Amino acid sequence: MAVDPSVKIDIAAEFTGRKAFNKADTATQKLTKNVKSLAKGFLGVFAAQKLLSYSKASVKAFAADDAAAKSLGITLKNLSLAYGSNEGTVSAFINNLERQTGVLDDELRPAMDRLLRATGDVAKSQELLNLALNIAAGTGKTVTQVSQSLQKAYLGQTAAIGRLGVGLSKAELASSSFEDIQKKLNTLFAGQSTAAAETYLGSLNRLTIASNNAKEIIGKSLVGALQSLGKDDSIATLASNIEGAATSLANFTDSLVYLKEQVKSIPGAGIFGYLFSGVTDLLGRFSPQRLAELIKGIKGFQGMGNVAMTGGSNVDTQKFELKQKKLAEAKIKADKLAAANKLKLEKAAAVFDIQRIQIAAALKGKITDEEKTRLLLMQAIEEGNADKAEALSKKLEEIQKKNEAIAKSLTEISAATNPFEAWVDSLGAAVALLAGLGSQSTGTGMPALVNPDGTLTPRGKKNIPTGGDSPSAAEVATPAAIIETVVNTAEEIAKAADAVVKAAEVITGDAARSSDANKPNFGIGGQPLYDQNGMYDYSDYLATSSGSSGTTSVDNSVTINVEGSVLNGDDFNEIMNRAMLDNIRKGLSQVPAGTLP
Amino acid sequence: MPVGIKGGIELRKALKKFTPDLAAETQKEMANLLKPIVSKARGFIPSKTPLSGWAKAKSYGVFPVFEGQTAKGGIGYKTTPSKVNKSGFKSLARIQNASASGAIYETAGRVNPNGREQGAAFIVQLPGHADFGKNKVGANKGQGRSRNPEAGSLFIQAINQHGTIVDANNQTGRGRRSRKMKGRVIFRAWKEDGGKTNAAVIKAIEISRDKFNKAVGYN
Repeated sequence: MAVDPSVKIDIAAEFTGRKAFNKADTATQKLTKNVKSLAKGFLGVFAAQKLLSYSKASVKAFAADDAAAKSLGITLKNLSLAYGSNEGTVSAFINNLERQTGVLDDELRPAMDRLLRATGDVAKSQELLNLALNIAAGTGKTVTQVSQSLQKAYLGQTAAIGRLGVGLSKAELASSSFEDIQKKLNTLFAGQSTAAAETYLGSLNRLTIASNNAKEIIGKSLVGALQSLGKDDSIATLASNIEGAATSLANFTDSLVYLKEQVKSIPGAGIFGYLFSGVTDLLGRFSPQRLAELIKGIKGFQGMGNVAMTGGSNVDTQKFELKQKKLAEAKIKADKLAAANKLKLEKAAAVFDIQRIQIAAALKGKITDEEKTRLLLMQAIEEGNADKAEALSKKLEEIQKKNEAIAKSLTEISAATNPFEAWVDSLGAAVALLAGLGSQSTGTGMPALVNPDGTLTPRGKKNIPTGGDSPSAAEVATPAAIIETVVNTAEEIAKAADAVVKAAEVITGDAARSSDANKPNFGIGGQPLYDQNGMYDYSDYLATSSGSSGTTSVDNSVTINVEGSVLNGDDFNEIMNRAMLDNIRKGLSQVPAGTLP
Repeated sequence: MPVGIKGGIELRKALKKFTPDLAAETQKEMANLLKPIVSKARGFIPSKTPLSGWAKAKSYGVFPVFEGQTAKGGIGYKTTPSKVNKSGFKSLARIQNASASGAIYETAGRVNPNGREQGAAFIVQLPGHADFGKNKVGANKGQGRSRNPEAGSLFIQAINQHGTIVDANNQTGRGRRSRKMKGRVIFRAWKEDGGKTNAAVIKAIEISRDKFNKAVGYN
């Protein structure tokens, strides 16, 4: 059962806040939130309304400016001054003046118009307009007033200038011509408008100019957009269309984005960049879906004519640009294909080119290097290959130079010299050296063959045959004879060496030993036999005469029966070795009985 | 209104979080302080019913039946924080009289010391009425429905014989004194305690606060 809240005693109670207050607090917070969101919504609506009114104003501004421009154009035409670049010059002049001085073109154009009608001359009108600006800046009067006074003064009514407070007396004005008055005024008010433009007020005026120009530009864009949509292109109808057309708002978004870029180019209009950023941000709050639906609803909208869109959300302009890009890409592709086709055709045509055929045929023949180069050069020229032609022509020049050098050298060939003439001298020197060596032999060399006095030494007598056809000592002493003797002696020595080798072979009794002196011999046990000099030594295994005390020999001779025939010592040797190896493989003892390991 | 403190709830939370043993100890101490006063309060409830008819259960109506043991059992204490009341207060401990009969005994005569006015009795005269000829009482809000016009007064007199209403509110100074601190049982015990228990409880809270601060190194 719930406790009656009145029947209790609270101890150590603490105030933690009333529920009602908390509820109220929450309610207030909710209320605040709702108010804020309401405010935002309201602002959004308000901003949209502001934009709408701005767009209307911009259209009107453009309309007024357009009217003024047309009016000036008509004046020029009426005065027969609308020739050449006059109209453009006047417009540009006015635009520049506007930017420089901060005076609206709404004033400048009518002033110019007025002066043109009075003077009938563009240059004079420009001078007077400049003067009017200076006077207006100096006196504080409006450009319209001053231009009117100047117009009247030009036409003879100089009193109007006096009313401006320019500092000229009535007498001066009455007695002077307009040119004199103009000169005086130029002197008095020179540079006034420029100085005024540099002041703070002047800067503000210039910003105002920028803003108004922006308005006119927007208006122009809007007009252009809506004209492309609507059937009726009158300004009045368009202005009323703006009120209800959601499409105009979509275009307006694009215009603003474009305008943002344009405003940047206007001097002194940087501040408005923020304005337009804010506006575009505001407009960006429209849901993209809704905007897309709006844009879809625009039929036949192809962008804003010649106005280039630099950004924004104009889907159609983007599509147009994409299309242009695709066309450009297609064109590039087509050009490439055409170039490739042309190349192919040229190549095919080359097959029927007689000149080229002849060159190709000539190249296949047996020709010199120069002729080949010449033909290749002709071929390169026919093909139009400049690089190849240049390289070949250089090569041809080099070949021609070489040929010239060869021809020149051929014509300058001298009598052939005896190449062996020098041999006799060199051999003689060699023999002299040998002779010198021989005469000095004391055991380091062989004994001399010829004594210094030319007589033969005993060795020489022995070696150098005499008698019969043998040359005499004197003849031997001559270089030729010595050479012959030396050569003969060398042959003899070689023969002797061969005999020695053979004798050595016989002495050693190893007929199987061939010219390879390092071939090992094997003993009975199959072991190789070497002496202390590394030569064969099997003397221990040969039978020797007994009787010497202390030395006994072991007869280790083995009798080997060979089936078949032994043609030479090599076969015998081979048979021996094979037998030994077989014994080793079979594991038979290779050591005679009783021998120590 | 009892003595208000500040930070007691947070202290209890901190105690439970960082020093649970201290929190339990504090709670136990508070209970020990409240037990005597609760016992005293229980003693103020009569074992027998002040009115014989009150102990009889009726087949009609929902007036609770008085039963001594039940009434005494309804008197107790709590050492846990309560819910926030209408005034925005939350208590760390409380003594309560939770039974219906005990609450009636506690508070009867608090608003109307001479008993509540009874509605006018009448006999239904309208023929065709379901209660035609029956005695009825036409009572407004705040009026009793007894046919005895002295019913309220007699009830309170009977209860007052066992114990009178005591005002335990010792609030001084400006402001209207609340009648909510009047009663025969717990409020009487509280009055008779003289605020000692309240002071002891707050003292215990302060001691636990100091112990906690010492334990966490806040000092």
